[in-house]
Amino acid sequence: MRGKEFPSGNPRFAPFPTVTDLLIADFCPVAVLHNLLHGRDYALIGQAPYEMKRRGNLFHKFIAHLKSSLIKGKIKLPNYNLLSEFHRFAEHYGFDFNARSDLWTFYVGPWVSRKLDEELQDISSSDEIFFELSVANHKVPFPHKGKSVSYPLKGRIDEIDIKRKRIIERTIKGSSLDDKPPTLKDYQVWLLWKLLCSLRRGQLPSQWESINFQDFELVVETPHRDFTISHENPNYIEKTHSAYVWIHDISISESPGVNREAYDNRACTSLNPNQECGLIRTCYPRNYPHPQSRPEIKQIFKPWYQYLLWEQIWKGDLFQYQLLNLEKEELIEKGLILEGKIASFDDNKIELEMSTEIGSVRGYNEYTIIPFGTLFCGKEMKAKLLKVKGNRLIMEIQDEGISLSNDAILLPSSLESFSPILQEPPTFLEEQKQTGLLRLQHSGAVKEEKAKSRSWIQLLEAIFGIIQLKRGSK
Amino acid sequence: MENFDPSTIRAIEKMFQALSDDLGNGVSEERAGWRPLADFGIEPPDEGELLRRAVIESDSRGQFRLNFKNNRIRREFKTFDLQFEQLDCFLRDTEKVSEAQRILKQITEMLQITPEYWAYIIALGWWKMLEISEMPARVDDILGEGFSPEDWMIRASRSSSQLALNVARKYGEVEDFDEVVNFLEKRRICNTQDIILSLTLNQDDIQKVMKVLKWEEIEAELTEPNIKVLAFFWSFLFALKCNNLYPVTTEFSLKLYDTIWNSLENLLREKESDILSNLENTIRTLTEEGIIWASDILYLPVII
Repeated sequence: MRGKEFPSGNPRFAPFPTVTDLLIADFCPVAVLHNLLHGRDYALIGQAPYEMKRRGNLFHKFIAHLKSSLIKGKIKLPNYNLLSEFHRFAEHYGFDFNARSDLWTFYVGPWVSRKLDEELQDISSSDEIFFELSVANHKVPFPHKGKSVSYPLKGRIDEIDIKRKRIIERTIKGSSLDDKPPTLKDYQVWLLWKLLCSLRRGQLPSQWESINFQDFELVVETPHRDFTISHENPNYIEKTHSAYVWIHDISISESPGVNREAYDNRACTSLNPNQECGLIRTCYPRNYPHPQSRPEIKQIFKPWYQYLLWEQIWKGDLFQYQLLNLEKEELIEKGLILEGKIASFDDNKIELEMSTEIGSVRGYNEYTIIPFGTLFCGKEMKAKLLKVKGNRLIMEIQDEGISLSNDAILLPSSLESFSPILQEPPTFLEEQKQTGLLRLQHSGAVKEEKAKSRSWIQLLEAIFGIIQLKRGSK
Repeated sequence: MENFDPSTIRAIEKMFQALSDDLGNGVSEERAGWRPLADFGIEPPDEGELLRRAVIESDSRGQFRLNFKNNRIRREFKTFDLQFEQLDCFLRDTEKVSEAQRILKQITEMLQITPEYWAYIIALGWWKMLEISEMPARVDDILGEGFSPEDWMIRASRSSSQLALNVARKYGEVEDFDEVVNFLEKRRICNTQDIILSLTLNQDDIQKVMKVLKWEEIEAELTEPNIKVLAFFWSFLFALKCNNLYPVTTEFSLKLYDTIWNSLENLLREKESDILSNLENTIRTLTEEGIIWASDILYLPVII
């Protein structure tokens, strides 16, 4: 924790998973294996994951914008033209007219028409609604055989409505005919609630210390329906223990049987694939006969995936443990965080007055600011350093309509990232390497002539197989 | 495709499942996937239409299955592209795994009748395992023995055959690697051209490699089941590779994995779980002794 051990080999400490990791592990052990070892984390997003993510983000952002504008009085209902507001908002995020129309028709429109008459008109300046709140704890207790077992967990809550005492998990999935929430969304909001409830005084934002989150309502909100989720469900507890075991074993267990066990427990088969899953082609790749050395490639690449995962754990997960375990003074002393006060703030600029010498931050442009809350529970904002003026940092941020407190904590790059003093690359690079390796392992050609004309296949055959590299055509 | 309602689509999914179950259980292509129509949830009134459109075919016993060989059907059901593609792999894997099982049986019987032949299997399996491991070691130790990191990358794996022979000789007489190759070729397990040995290092360099890897400590810790399980897996998979018999589907890979373990349990007279925990214990002990690279050298090959 204090950086005394040289990071190498198997970390031998439990990974620090996200709520999404747990959901994926519950969805299918092979999907979480692909998530951890191959950097493929979109099993639950379904087909066309990038476009779905982009649409989902806009849906979230627009609702946050709408509710924040209602609180600030920038939008007044019922006579405001929300369709035009949506077009203006979505255009700003690069959606063309057709995409905006589709989004309104399928997601935003149905949501607005459901909420317009009651909930939206009820929002006023006395409301306290928080969006996209990051929550993390290294010890979240879950009951187990009459005792309690604690696990590390981090996640992001879509919405907390303090006045109406609700925690909302919002999604673009689902249809008007559904009688239950989309796959695992109920479990997701329950996990986030457990995570929030595990935080003690001092870990929660100071304004929330007297709030009892135990009796907050848990809601899964689709464009078409709201589902209230029960606080008590033994099934969720069982799912959680099982998901942690998969994540632990796949990440750091060196037992030779783990892979096989994951595949033995897979959720679908190649002739009956789960159409909801975004990893169908990862699990069932095209079968290219070339390169013929694919079996060797598979053997040689296998440990590399594990090493790349261990690197991520040593960097990102360890950093997360440090943030939540070490005292603030120690974090500052180690250069893991810097502390400052918000001197001024407008729509896209923030000026921070730092409490310590700020020479050490020079050279790093990307930051995460937590303008509201703590390292355990707060609003994270990406910020780009524009200027250093004396002991003040001027940064560019995206206006997300949040309420700011006067204290800010400044982190290098992101919460999932690590100390700039170590000068190590961000963990997403390891994930990209994993993804790239798997893509290379699965690529190939059907016909021999094609394989011969592709230099990279010939190169693979020469490196991993038994053919000899030859220059030129002869 | 637009002409088929959701119940037909569900029926087709069930037909794929029936084919998957049967082929996975070793039923031949001709006999796989046949079921009474009710098993697919198809009502008698729809039967005629599906037969007329050649979506299903019937046999003399009044059973039905998906007409998967019909190219028109494949074109029509575009959303089932993946399943048709996987079905083709299944059919190829059925043949491959049956041939693989024949080779496996041959090796197993050979070792049961003549246990001295383990020496050849160990030499082959350990050579392949060590070569693929690329001999990870501690940089200080590599430099300490006069290798540059680049030298090590090029030369260390050239000691694989010698190190493998050292292990093999404890279980039978083997003069050199040529003897191993000749034996395997004679038994039609693999051919001479499949085994390409890199130039062997001189004895001095082999000693240095052994020192860097702490090979004597590793060998001292290895138990007989450790040596044999690693040898058996790597040799058998090498034989599959040489004969182009590697299955590509998850289902057949798992099936093959189970078959290998059955053979090993018979040969070693130990349960799979005991064999695996024995191997884990050895690696843990070596790691605790400071040989942290043990798990990167002594490991079972990936099958799935």
